[in-house]
Amino acid sequence: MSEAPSFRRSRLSGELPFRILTLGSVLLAAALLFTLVAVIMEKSLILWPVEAPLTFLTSSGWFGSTAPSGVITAAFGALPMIWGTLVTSLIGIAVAAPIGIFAAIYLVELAPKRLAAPLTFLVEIVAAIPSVVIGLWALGELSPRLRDSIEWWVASTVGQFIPWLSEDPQQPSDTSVFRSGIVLAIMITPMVAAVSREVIRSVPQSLREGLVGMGATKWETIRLVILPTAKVGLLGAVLLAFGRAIGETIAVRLTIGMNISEIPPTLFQPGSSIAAQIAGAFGEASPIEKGALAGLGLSLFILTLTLSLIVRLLMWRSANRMGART
Amino acid sequence: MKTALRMAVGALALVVLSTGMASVSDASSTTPTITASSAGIIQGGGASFPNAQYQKWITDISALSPSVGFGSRSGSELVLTYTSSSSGTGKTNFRGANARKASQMFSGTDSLVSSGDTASTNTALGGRNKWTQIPVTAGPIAVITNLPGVTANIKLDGATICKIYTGQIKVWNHADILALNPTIKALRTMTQSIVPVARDATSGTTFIFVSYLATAAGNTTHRCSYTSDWANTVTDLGTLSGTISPADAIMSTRFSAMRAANGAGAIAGKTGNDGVRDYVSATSYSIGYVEMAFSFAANVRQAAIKNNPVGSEAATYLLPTQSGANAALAAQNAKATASGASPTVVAENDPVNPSASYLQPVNQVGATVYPIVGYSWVLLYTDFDGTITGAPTKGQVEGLIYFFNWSITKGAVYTAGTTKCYSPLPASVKTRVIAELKKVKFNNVTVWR
Amino acid sequence: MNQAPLPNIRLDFSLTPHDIRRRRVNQIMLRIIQAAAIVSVVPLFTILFVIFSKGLPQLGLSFLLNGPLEQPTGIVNAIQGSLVMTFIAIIAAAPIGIGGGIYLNEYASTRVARIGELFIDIMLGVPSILAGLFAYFALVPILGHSGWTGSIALTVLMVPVVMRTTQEVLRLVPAGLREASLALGVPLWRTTIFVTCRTALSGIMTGVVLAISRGLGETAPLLLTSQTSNDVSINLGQPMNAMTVVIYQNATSSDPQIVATAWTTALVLFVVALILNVSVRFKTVNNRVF
Repeated sequence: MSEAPSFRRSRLSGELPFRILTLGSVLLAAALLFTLVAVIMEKSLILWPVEAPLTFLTSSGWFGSTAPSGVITAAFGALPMIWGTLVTSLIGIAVAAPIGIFAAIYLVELAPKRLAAPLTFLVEIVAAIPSVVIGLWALGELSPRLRDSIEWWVASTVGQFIPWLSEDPQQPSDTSVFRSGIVLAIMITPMVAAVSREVIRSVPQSLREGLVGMGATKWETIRLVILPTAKVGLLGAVLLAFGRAIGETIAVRLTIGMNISEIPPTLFQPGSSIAAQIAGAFGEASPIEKGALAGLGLSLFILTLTLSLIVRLLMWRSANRMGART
Repeated sequence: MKTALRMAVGALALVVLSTGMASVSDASSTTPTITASSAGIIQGGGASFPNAQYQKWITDISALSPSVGFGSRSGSELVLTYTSSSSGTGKTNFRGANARKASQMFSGTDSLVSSGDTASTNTALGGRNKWTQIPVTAGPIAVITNLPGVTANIKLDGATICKIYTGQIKVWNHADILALNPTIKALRTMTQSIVPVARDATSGTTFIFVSYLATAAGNTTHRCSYTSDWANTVTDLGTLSGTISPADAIMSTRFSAMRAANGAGAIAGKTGNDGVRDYVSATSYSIGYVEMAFSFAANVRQAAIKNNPVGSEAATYLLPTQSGANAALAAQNAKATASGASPTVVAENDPVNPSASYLQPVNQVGATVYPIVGYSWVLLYTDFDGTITGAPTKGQVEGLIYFFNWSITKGAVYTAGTTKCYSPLPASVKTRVIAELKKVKFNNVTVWR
Repeated sequence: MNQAPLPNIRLDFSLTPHDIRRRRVNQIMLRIIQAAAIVSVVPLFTILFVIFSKGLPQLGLSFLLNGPLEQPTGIVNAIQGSLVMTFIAIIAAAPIGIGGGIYLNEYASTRVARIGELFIDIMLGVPSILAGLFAYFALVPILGHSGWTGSIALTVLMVPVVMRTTQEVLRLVPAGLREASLALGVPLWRTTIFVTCRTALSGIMTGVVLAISRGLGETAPLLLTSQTSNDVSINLGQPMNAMTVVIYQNATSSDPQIVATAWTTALVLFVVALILNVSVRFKTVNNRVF
């Protein structure tokens, strides 16, 4: 950051307009964000008289219609969508976090120099694949394979004892909450890896050398120095990816099955998510349902807002601790 | 270069055509004309029931490009687009902010425009004479099932389907189902719960389906609750006695109290005809209803539906076919135009600008009549205003009229494989639709003269 | 591991059981870590393989140049729509993002900069479907389902990407450069434009390209705003097709011909995304030292 207060105040021509222009950009961006939230909030207002916010968040069922007489019959419950959003994202992050972090460790600590750069590049390319392309692939290729392999295997072993991992062998579904979770895992792994890579790279070299000098193995260095030092940053990476998973729309929409009325009894049955429901139901929604979709949008925003705040706090804390801004 | 040539030929043909027409002057022409080198978009949307048919007509008429002028490029051609969603959306958009613009020139619906919707549409457009509701295609609705191990088409009747959707029949080996299907052994041991699937929005397909249930289910199931005295909390059909009143309401809503009282799970609500098809295809032991064009998918079989026999003839069970649907349209049409028929009967059977008492041609009498059939309508503005922002040009309105006239008179029926999935309009309905098309004005001047 | 025979001097190099365990754990863990790295790139290759094998047969010049209602069918309107809407969006988003990034890094006090960072975080975290919802509610009543509405929805998503990248690369510009320029009497705003930003130009461009890449890959906001159209035109006042929307809408069809169109469009989109990312990659590599 520039430290030249005397120049800042200088009245040289152009200084003020430029400053106003750049400040204007910041304000415009902030205004965009505020309008976005305000508009969605305003549109959800139609819902609250029909469905109190707390009931909306904690109940199931999704229908609403307006009779010719104008009487609205509606019961909108966001619980199955909120559940689906969180569960798919948790499955995604449970798979993506270890793989992504380990991949990052490999890239920074273990990979031969020749291999590190191309591998990093490949990981970044995965992140660049548009989600609809991943969704198409998941729908046509991955999903049936997962159903016939992992899902079938889990359901016929562990599933015998744990109800929410069971599956009726007679009626395996084409879509499931679990499969959406795996698709999310594939989409966010590169993100975990990329951010973790930066975090691990910023662990001071001297710490590593200290332990290696004491005869520690590579793994011990990783376990005793790198992971503890990078802990907060890695948590940030995971949460960031979690936020991305929560908001993912299209790939989930194509694989989750859009079961909007209830929480599915097992992970291997169709469910729904907030974002997928907004995208899926919008084309056909009645005015009152649009209000309900705005209500869903609002809950989604609050979820991602909370995550963004936590991540930022973590980053500030870790920055303070490491004595430098990351 | 080829396109340029094609366009030149097309323009020439149009010039010749239009000058030819001009010489005929005031005499009403048999086909609408399109002003030479008209261009721009012609956009509409709504019902998913007729989507396959509309897309075929759009593709076909665009392939005729040199002689007519439809194509993909709005700079030099007329570009038709139909966005499939639901009848409810179609009706809402028809009176919405973009009404009468090039991006909203017509809507598709296969349910009635309710009195409330009519009132708001009249308010938005300036009166009932500013729009018309014309049937342009019709088709049978297939009841589809996904029953592992069953290799035949199961037989169903109105009462049984009603009981399935209201939760009175919960499993596949219920006595009522077995009685209709004594030869299908796999059903006898099928103890699995029935998964009923319906549309999750106000849908015209639902409207046709419940019109069938309301008329075919009979008094034993009290018109499947589609009666005028129905309330949201009805748990027992036996208490109902009102007159038939089908509605496009969401079935899971309508039957939720009743299903709960019967101890049955919720109806699965799916988006669009394709959404229902995909869900049934993916879910064993499910049952759903879709326009016939959507009834072909893995694991999915159509059910044979009991007909409404003439007099004391024995009932037969029919799969949806175009000929079965044609017969239904003809039977209804015969009643609508029967001499000496009372006005109410005509209104009940007249699909052009249908009244509130209109019933879709369901459960019509006849040995070959498939019982679940409905018209699909287009909502059309009769008074386009070229001065509003985003308004179509005269040529675009002419293109719209041309398209619908061509579709109902010359357009080919959509086929899945070799199966025809939609029905052409009966001749007398066609004539009346054309009369409606001739009412459309652009800047207060009739377009098709 | 083969150990060379040791010379006469006998030292006790034998490993204690504890050491052997440590070594084994080390070996196992390193293998696991290696496996994780491999696993993380496996999807790329399977996706690549499937997209090419399913998408390539239909790919031809006519697929890229024809409209959807022409024979044989093509996606030129979707390609145009994607490009035009992304172009309009970046025209709007780049100045806002770059300007904002400059302000936050060059002018804002530490506290304001921190609040700004927080704002960018929140904006980056806004799921794309919400941008669509916003544009639908706020703009469709005014502009209709149109290319403009779609472009604005994309702008909302692109601004934070450009702003974040700009801010980060400006931070990397050595303070000495600025100071040298300022010492020569060049006013701060000129220093910022001609020294600071110029030095960081390729980094800023990276942000712009990343934003373009994001815009081209978005589906959900366009579904609600620009919808679809059969029209091959760049008229932003009417509904517009986009490649992502074509893929999404064709993906679930039961007509194999239509699904094939989805795969081929996916191939086209993937190649475009790849080119954009590779170009960014090489730019940054070449200009690592600002």
